[in-house]
Amino acid sequence: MDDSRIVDLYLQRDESALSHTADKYGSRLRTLSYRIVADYPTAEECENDTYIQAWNSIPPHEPRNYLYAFLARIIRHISLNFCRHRDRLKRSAHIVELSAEMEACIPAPNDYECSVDDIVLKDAINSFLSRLDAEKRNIFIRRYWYLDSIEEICKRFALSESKVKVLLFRCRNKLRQQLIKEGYTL
Amino acid sequence: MRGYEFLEKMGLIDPKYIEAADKPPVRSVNIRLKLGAVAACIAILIAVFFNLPRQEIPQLDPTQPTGTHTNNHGGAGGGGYSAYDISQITNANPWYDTAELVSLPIYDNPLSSNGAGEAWGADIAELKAFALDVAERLGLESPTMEYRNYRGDPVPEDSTGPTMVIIEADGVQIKVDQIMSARIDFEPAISLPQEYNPSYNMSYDEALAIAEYLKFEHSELLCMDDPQISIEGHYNFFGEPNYQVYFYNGSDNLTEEITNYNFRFIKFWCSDEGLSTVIIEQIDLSHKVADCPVISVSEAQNLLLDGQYATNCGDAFPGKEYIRKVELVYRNSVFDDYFIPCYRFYVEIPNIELTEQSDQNIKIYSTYYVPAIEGDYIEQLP
Repeated sequence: MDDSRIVDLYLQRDESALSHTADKYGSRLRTLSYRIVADYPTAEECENDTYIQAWNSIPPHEPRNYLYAFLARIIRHISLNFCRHRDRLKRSAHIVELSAEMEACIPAPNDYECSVDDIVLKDAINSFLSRLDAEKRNIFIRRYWYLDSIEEICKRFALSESKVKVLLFRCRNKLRQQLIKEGYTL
Repeated sequence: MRGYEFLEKMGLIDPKYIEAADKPPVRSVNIRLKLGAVAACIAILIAVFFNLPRQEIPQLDPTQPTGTHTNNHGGAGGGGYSAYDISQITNANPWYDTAELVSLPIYDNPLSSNGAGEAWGADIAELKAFALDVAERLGLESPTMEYRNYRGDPVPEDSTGPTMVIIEADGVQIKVDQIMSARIDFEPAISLPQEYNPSYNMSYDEALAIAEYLKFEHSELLCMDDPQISIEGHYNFFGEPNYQVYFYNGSDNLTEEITNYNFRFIKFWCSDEGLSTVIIEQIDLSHKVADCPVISVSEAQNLLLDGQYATNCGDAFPGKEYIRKVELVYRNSVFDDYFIPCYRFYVEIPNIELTEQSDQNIKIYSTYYVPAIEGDYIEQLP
């Protein structure tokens, strides 16, 4: 069933929307969540919470052309929140590794609240991505949005591990330089 | 801000980039050549494989959703149904437990996923022919036709991009997609005579009355020699009925009837305004792989008890005493490599915690699927 029809079911408050969503995207959503929470029962819990949030968000949202991105964003947020609130962060070496890499992008990391609001930061990140060529952008997003391992990225893009690591290193530096240049304080 | 928070902020990335990164990357020529060589090897292996006296069928991936066709999908969020009693979860599945089925066919699914969760690989000419056939059944005059890609953007017929065909005329839109599913939307909805009460929340009896009317009134659209009514549905968490009307073509041959029920059905979808949508499923079954011996319900139950099942309901199988019903269905998710018959066990989930808004007397039934073919034919049990 195509996404537009699934969204129609949500809009018509037809509960079969949930099972169609699970059929089509459940496995991928669970996988994404598992990368973050590193625990299958919790990933399933996050998946179910995602369906509930999607049910509550459509309408007003109508993600006909980006349903998977919409759902994935929800489960990513729920899963990261789970780590934060349950202090599971320490249990996931993968997330610790990714967090350390991300920290290298921040001009002056500290423990204070973020001094840039989300709208400004969103513009900065998307502006940075728009300047990357498609492959670099996709690799960056696979690593820091989909939270893929380096090995998975190598396989997906048919690149060597060293090439992927160097490419990500340069991307992080570029992002950091851009944030400094534009005067962001994170 | 620390690295972890910044990682969270990556959630602000534009969805268009997220979608793009989820598509398979365009490979270099060298990689294509390598893949071509691998594909050639696989083709040879397959050719040898299917000359063997007994074929092994790659089996269900338990990490994949169960997705057994679009009939009677549940209201419990994936693989589940809600009702006050199991008898309220209805359909007119022609299979019965005393049926003496020796074997059932297994079909190769000619479609594949394009990596972005979209079915891919159907012949656009067949989609067009199917759309025109449906338009003719509806008696549409001077319809317009266009082709769209999977994003819904119009594309030329002779390009490589079209994945669906859309025909429009007189407030009717027919959309045929890759899985040979024709969706007909009526705008405005077709009103029904006053004595009927169409809605999203029809009772079983209301749906049955409408089915009898539709069977007579829309016989040309049904285009079936022996249309069988199947009222499919259950109750939602709030205790409201949710039944809709399906038809499939009857047959004197049980195997054929089971095939029709699972792959060749028509759903009439009613809203408060009347008949709003019809969906005609005509899944491609032209690639039959083999007839495989069918195991009995008790054998399947033993596999279930042994944990060899697939489900996407999220609940571990709670035990034999909670089995309430079993039926044979075809697993026909478009993302499966093969269409395989399975026993679907309806299992009452004990001690479920319902939300405050739910009717506290509602019961949740999850579904567990066990392959209905002999284990020798299965490469890897779920």
